[in-house]
Amino acid sequence: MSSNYDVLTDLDPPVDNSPEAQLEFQNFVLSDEQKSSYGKGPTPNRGVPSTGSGANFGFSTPAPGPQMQQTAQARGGFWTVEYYSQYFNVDTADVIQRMLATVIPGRQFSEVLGSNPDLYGPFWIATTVIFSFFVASSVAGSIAALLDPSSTSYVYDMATLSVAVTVIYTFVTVIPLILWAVLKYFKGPANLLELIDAYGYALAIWIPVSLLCIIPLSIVTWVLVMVAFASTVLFKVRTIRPIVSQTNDKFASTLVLSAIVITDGALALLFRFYFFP
Amino acid sequence: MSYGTNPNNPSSSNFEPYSFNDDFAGSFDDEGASLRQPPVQGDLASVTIPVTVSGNMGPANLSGGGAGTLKPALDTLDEPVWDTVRRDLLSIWAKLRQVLLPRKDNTANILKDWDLWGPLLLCLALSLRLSITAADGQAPAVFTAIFVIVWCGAAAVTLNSKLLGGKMSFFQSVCVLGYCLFPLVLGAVVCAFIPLIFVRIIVVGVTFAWAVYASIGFLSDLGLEKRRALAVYPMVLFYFVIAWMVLISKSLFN
Repeated sequence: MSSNYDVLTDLDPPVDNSPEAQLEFQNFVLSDEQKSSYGKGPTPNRGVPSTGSGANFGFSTPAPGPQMQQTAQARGGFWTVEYYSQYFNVDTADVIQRMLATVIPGRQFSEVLGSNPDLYGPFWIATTVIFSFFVASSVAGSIAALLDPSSTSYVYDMATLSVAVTVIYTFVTVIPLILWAVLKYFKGPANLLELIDAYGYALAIWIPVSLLCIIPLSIVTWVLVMVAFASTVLFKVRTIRPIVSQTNDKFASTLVLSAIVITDGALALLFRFYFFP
Repeated sequence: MSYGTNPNNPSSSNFEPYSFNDDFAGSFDDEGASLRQPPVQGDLASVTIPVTVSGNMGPANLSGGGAGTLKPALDTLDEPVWDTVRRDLLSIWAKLRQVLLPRKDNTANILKDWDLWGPLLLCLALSLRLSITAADGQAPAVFTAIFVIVWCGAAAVTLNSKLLGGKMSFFQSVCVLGYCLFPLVLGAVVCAFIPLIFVRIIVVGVTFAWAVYASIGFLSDLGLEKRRALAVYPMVLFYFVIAWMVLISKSLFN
């Protein structure tokens, strides 16, 4: 940080000191190029917040260059609604692209996010997954009751909705938080928002899988659950392995990667056995 | 009544910077507020400077609807309670009619005057209807779930629109989303008498589409071009969840 302050930057507009110019009306209003050149300063990255690497919590305040100061003040504190609108700065195409990137192996997920991790995707995908679990569970239950000649009419169980809510929201918030804490403990680079995004967007595959599991064949259900489990685990390992390998600690790598596999497996098993008995 | 008089010697008027006219105190004894102007004392040579008070000094407008606009000229304290309640019920009914038959010309006007009574009544009606036919012992759980889904869902959808950059006020949006539940409440009441699943699917489907169409009509002018799908999808999800709860509830006959 000290290198930013080594060079003196002249913030006054250039003044023409010739005798003729002194008598004329001088314009001290900065033109746009002059303003932008003062903002850049000696180091080009001084005003730009880094969210890719570097251990920031996602609530980073940027080092204020002149044009950055305005946006930092306009956002307000983290208790206002306007602060969070910076995490909703995505278009429809972005969200779809991010969802596809979790299923189709291609670029690294952190490249797809760029410097713009969002909270829209994780929240609404998690909510959709909750309701698709509930919908699929109730339809599968009623189809099973229909096919089974001995049972009477099926009544849905409200408890499945509560369980789904708890499990999915915990999965998307608490587990990335724990991973982030572990990575920070081992002095690795970790960005909480990117981890939440990875977990949130990776849940997207469960939406079609849960709806297809309405088909009352148990082999179909098993295959679909295996496919979803494999897809999410591979995606998360592919995304988080580069981060955790930067700690240069074998123990940390095995710990984090096995935690990912175990939690994903737990979700898959819960899905298979609780929602589709 | 004088301010700043010497308490030991009330007749002394050496230090009386302000003196409220007697009419100021007198207006509180009247029933019902009325505009009362204390007479102006125009003697500039005197030490006392009268403070002229103007405006409606009566109690606040006691109409139960909590409508957004003040009606300063209307004195609602003397009218019968039924008149007050009827006025608010008619206002709720006007908004419901707006939802039933969405018209493009005056959509903005009626719902700018937001109130939360209509959404509350609709939410209670829906929760009651769905909890009556719930499974044994789950009636309170169903009631709670519907209530929470409606209010937290409306808040989440509204916050989502605001965070994506929309320009609608928070309570106005919650009001619109609540009122647009009306077709689903009608569908739920109708479905209470229909045990056949296929007819229920049709009824719930129609009311769901109607509710979504009405709410998109009201919340369409948000100024979000490339994010319309992002703003509309949570609304669709919200009404879909409620429609699903209506669809899978038992009817009264099986």
